[in-house]
Amino acid sequence: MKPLSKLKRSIFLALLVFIFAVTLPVLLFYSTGYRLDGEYKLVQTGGLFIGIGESGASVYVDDKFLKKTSRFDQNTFVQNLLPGVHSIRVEKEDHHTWKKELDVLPKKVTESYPFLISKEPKVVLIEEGGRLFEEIRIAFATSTADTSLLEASPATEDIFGDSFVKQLGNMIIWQDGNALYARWAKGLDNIPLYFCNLEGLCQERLSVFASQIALRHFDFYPGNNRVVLVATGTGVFAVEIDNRSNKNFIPVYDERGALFRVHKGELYVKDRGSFYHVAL
Amino acid sequence: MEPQEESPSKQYLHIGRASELSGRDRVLYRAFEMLPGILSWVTLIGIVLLSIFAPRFAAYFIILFSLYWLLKTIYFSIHLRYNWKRLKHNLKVDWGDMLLNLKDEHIRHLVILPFSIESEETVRRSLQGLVDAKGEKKHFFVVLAGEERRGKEGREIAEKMKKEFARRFGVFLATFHPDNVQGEMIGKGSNIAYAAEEARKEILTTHSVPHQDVIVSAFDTDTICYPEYFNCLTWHFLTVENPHRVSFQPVPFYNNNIWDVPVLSRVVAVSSTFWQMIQQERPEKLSTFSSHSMSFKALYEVGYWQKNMVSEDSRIFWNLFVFYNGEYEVVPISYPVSMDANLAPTIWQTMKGVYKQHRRWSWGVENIPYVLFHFTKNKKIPFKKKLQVTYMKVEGFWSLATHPLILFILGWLPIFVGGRAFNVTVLSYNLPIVARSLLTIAMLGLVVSAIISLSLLPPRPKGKSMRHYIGMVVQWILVPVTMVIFSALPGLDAQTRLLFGRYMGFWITHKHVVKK
Repeated sequence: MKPLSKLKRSIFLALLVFIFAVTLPVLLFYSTGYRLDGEYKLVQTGGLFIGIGESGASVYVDDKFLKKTSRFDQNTFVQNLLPGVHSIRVEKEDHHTWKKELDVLPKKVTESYPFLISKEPKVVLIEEGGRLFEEIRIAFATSTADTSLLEASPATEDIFGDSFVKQLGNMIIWQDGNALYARWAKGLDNIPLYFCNLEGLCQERLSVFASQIALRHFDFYPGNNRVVLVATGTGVFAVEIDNRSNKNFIPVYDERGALFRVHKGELYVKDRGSFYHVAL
Repeated sequence: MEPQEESPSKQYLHIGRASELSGRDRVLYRAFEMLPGILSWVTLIGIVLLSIFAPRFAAYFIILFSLYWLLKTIYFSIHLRYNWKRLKHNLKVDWGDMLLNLKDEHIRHLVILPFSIESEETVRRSLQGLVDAKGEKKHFFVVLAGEERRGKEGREIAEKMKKEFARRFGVFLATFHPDNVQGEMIGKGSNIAYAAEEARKEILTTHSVPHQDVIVSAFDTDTICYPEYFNCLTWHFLTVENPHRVSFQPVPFYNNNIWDVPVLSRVVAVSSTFWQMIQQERPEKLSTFSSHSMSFKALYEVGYWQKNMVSEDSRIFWNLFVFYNGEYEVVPISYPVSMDANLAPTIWQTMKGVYKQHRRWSWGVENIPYVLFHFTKNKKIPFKKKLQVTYMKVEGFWSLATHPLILFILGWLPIFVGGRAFNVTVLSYNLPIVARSLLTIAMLGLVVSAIISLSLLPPRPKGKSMRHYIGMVVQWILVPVTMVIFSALPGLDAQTRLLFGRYMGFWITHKHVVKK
């Protein structure tokens, strides 16, 4: 049996070179977002990245069901979207629906990070007498302008003049009157896209929340520096910093007069003189 | 030496390194030594810089490269599959029958079996392999080439082997390569070169055997011949157009202990076999490797194997190539010899051994300066051939050291260091998807590898469960790991050493034997 002939080898090689030459431009165009439309014209498309971070959520884009997240696949990247406004809806059983309308640009990916909050979070009374009760009592006894008695929490705190400031990761939030603002600590370095407009110009600060009534307390949603918890006289609410299109404003503890503290990464509520742990 | 045409680069025939030259030659040789390392490092650093400063272009390059890799894998798979068929065919052929129509009575086999730290058992196993091989044993001249530095133990082994095997062959000669010879490097090259010269004086001259009738087989100590090896070799020697202008390369299997070695060592060993099988179908890219055979006439004319460098197995081919002005080739005989896969007493030692063995093989990069230097000196080698060989050698070592790193590590870099502007592009999101898909398709070729490797395995020994057999299939998912750790890194290590003039010595592979 003779070795593979030079002719056969040359034919194989030529064939593979041909495949390479044909496939490469297709791959490069595809990878950068070019697609053929219905009339076989080349069009530029963009994409959406939907970072949910939990399983069991149904994702809809432009009211079309896309996928249900699983334990091993908790985010969604959808491409082939023509430039323009696209709606995103994320649903999960027994959770508030999260919606947003976002601009998709050619060859770009618009990122969004939905947050899902239970409609009926598990609320557990903190019994008097225990160590936890004492910690929570001290936390609530402390005014927002005096943090010296608070134990370290994931969000570091400090006082700047009259403003009460909190920082989690590179996100800084602060209160000014009844308004809440956010700023990115590292300038433009890796700044979240919702600080920037379509032309790529980024704002130094974002208005997160403004109320006619007194803002009684605020903090980061535990473990998430894209979402802020606020206590107004009407309850405790979660509000996203991202103010592109509609801002999702979702009740967490919907009782008038309730206050909250985030202590050691957990949410505690004070309601009618009693302390509760709220499992998010 | 017999008369021959004067080769222009003959005076530099046995150059080992730049420091053996002077003046402009030394500078030139040193520059050629630095070339492979520079190319590899420029490539790797270039990709890192491109990923940071021009991530879009880095991403284009990585997609291009992944596609190239996929098609290259397909191309190699075609060669591998074809050689597998040819090898299986050659294993079935009765080469003794094939020789009936040829005059082979004058052919003599000089088998050189060097040993240094190897055990008595390993040496005995190889000699028994020669006894079991088909062919007229009185035409076999066996040289057991020991090292004087092994001392009394080495001489005792040689003596025992002589008692057991001398009567089984035409001549059995034990030689002992002297220690501390000026200008020599400790290693296989100096030992077998000494043994070959001793054999010439003690056997060929004494028995008046013409050099052109002798086929020399330089085997590693652990080499066990398949039964028809010498008949197959003789047939090729007698039928090739000019047997004194070619070397004969078998396929090295690592089957002696394949059921006993750890999985990583196994994957690396079989991958090495597969690479040699692929090269068997691309003879123009083949140089001699490990155990090989050639005409004694050519070997004598070129002055035997080099004694002052590590990769004597491949260097002998390049010695002959430049000596005969490019008119020298390797004939792939597609017939196996079996050797030991790397095995040390512990898994960690085995892994270190595999790394060091591959670094030694990768040290074959020292052939690049040798070949390029001779190309500047030898005007008789056709320019086209020089160009082809230069591309083949440089590309070969460059791809060995860089491709696995680009594919499995640097390919993801633009996503991590490309910055915010790049990370929000569709290209950034598609880069891992496209690259991963292409690699996954390429890895499907591993199914072919698994099938072929199973068919080449020796029978499952008693005491090895079905679990071991299944392991022989599942092991192939480790290929990305072995490509990086036991191919790219030792390759880059060797090239970097050569780049900075930190020359390697000869490191002997562990041949630990599992007690049955």
